Amino acid sequence: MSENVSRRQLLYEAAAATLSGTLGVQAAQHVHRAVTQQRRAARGPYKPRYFNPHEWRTLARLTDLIIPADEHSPGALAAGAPEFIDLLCRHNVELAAMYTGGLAWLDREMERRYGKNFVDAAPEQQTALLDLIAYRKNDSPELAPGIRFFDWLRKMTVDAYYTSKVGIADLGYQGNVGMTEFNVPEEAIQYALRRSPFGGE
Amino acid sequence: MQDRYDVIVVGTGAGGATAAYVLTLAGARVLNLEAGRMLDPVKDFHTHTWPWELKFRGFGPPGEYDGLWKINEYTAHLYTNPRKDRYRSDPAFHWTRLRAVGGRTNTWGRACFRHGPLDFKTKSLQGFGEDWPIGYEDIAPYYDKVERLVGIVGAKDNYFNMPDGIYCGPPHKPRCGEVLLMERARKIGVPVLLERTAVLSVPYDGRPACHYCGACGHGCDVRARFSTLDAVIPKLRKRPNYTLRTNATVYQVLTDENGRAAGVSFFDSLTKEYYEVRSRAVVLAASTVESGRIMLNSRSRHHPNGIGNSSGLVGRYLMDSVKSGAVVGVLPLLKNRVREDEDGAGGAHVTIPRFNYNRKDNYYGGYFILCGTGFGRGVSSAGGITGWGAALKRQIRQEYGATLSLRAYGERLPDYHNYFEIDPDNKDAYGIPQVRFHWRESDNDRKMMEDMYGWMEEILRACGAERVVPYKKYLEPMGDATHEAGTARMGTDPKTSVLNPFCQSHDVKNLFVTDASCFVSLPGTHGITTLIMALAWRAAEYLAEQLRKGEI
Ligand SMILES: Cc1cc2nc3c(=O)[nH]c(=O)nc-3n(C[C@H](O)[C@H](O)[C@H](O)COP(=O)(O)OP(=O)(O)OC[C@H]3O[C@@H](n4cnc5c(N)ncnc54)[C@H](O)[C@@H]3O)c2cc1C
Ligand code: SF4
Repeated sequence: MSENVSRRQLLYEAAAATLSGTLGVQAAQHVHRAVTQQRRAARGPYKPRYFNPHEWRTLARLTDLIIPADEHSPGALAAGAPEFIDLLCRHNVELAAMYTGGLAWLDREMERRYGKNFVDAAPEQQTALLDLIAYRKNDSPELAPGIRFFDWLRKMTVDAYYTSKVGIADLGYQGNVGMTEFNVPEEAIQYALRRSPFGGE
Repeated sequence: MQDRYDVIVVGTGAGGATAAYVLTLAGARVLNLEAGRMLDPVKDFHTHTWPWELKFRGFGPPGEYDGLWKINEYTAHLYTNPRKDRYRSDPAFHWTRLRAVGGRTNTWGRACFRHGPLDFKTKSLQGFGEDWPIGYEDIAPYYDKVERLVGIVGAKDNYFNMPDGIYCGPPHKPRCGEVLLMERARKIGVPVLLERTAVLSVPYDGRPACHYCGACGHGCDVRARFSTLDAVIPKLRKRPNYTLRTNATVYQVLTDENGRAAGVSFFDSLTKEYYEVRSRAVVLAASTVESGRIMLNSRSRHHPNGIGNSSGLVGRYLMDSVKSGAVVGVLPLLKNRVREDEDGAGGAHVTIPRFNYNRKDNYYGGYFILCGTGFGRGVSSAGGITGWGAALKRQIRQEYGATLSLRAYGERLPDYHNYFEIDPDNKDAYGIPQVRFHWRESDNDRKMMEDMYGWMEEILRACGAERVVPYKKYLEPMGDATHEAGTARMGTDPKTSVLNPFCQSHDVKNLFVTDASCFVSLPGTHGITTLIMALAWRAAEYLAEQLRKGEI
């Protein structure tokens, strides 16, 4: 907390200084950047508080499949998505029950199809099942529990990813810094307008 | 606190701070009572907090805020949680309360468009609803004063029935998607104006210009957007004749043996101790519903139905903007753009004002549309995503900053059957009886809704949307727009109105109400707050004069 306060105090002073003309936008941005770079020091490996080790492995695999690392950026694992879901499940029994049930459903379904639980099945077997439950158009009485669970899992993985540092960086978000002027570059506007069939020139 | 004050002003939000400001500057001894605490913008606002710096990434503990409105991990310490201070409503009414110095001006949307001549003369000039007892010409000089106090930026638009304001700086420049919207909407006859907003584009009144971080909804830590906390209360606290008492939850207006207001009673919000204070006049500005609640709870021999309520209309004619859901389109023209910092001055830099003045619609009134575009801080899972893996990630990346969302807010006609009353079976933590809401969606609301959704789709299509995220046509519960008004309406006839044209009670001459309670209509123009302030200014000036003349 004290860090946050001093950080905001800095910002306020930066703005006050900008007002009186003693601090340029470069300096203001520097303040913003410097203070947002405080990160939690690296800790040891995370120990799940709600999920058992098997569920934890399964959950980690699933979130990694939903948002994988690619040439652009790290994926859901680096964004702490399983940890986020673990935290939420610890705080909400209904959510926790949904995860326990959903993960068990996945294992049963994999056993039935391939004689293996989800996380130990081959990657193609895992993705074949995802291809079924990731789309509402495949809805059937048989798949309904899986589709519903996956919908939640995907939502929460997406939320976890795009509220994380790596996820927001993946989007290319440039903001949460100080600027003295707001200007959209002419090229950006032309890019949008020129491509319009009857807009721009 | 001294023993005797000229005026007690209840509330420090838009209406209360304005009344206190005018009265204090006129030399009156003012006691300003505020139920909430003092805020420190640096400590209390999460302006620059990243979601990952919060325990629950901004969402809050799971389930905690489900079904609530406006409350999230960034704002939960500011708003009153309706699960903790319960009230009943039939059907659901979304009542937004923020008990702190500054009230809801701490987190408000900052849009400041003037209401025009037609808006005050709904019946005689537009043929429906009711006329105000005052006209635009009465309020225009007060808009001037209020806008100078608030610090508004905007453009001279010369737009029909929405008079230009007094601007302290140039408008904020539109984002890429907003430029596109302006170009395209115009082609189908839909106007798009630059936002008139209480976010500074230049330093003004000792406050810095906005640094474009887009986070005003969490409160602004540098005071670049107007709030009464930052721009009015500090001026007052320098004056010896102004006293601010925070953590003072007002219960009743006290009366003397003649039925006149004698002061108020309140509970200390922390210790729950009971107090009474006296004054020559009382100004209620605790927000529309809270002021009405205080009036209805102030029953006495002279005022068996609550103070100032001989008409029985306190709590009646409750209005709030008719608010649609959001309609979101993905615009291919905005896909794969070079990333820019588009945070801007929180919220949109453009707006679609009411545009149906020349049309014959099958409903009364009109509406404005709010727009959202830009590279926001993260994306939400809400937008109908599907699939998984690299393709999902790619789709999100491509559509990031390529969406345009629209939401309409329309005129709600005054209806006697939309009201709040005192709930006989529900008291708050201080033992103060709580209100209960009753309202109904009207035929006019539903017809307007059809038109809203039709136009929003049309606008998205004109902008080249390749995909409109599936939506259901519905209206948000009343209250959701946070524009509650009308429950102590002004008028000239004490039988059909509660207040006179100076926001003075017909029944009790030394009682005034200076929030949106006095509204006679709620037009489809975005800017209830500066209108509240203009009315409060006018009322307070009148009251100061009456005090000076010894008539109160
Ligand atoms: C998210 C959001 C966006 C908004 N956007 C806009 C916008 O763009 N444009 C616009 O014009 N308006 C907007 N509004 C509405 C605007 O905030 C209100 O119109 C305005 O704040 C109302 O002023 P008020 O003085 O009536 O009430 P408030 O500002 O709510 O102030 C009331 C004060 O009274 C105090 N109080 C309440 N009960 C008691 C009691 N019993 N005793 C003592 N004190 C009490 C409260 O603590 C509070 O400080 C928005 C509101 C919200 C929440
Ligand atoms: S966008 Fe401007 S007004 Fe809004 S919080 Fe940031 S600095 Fe303050």
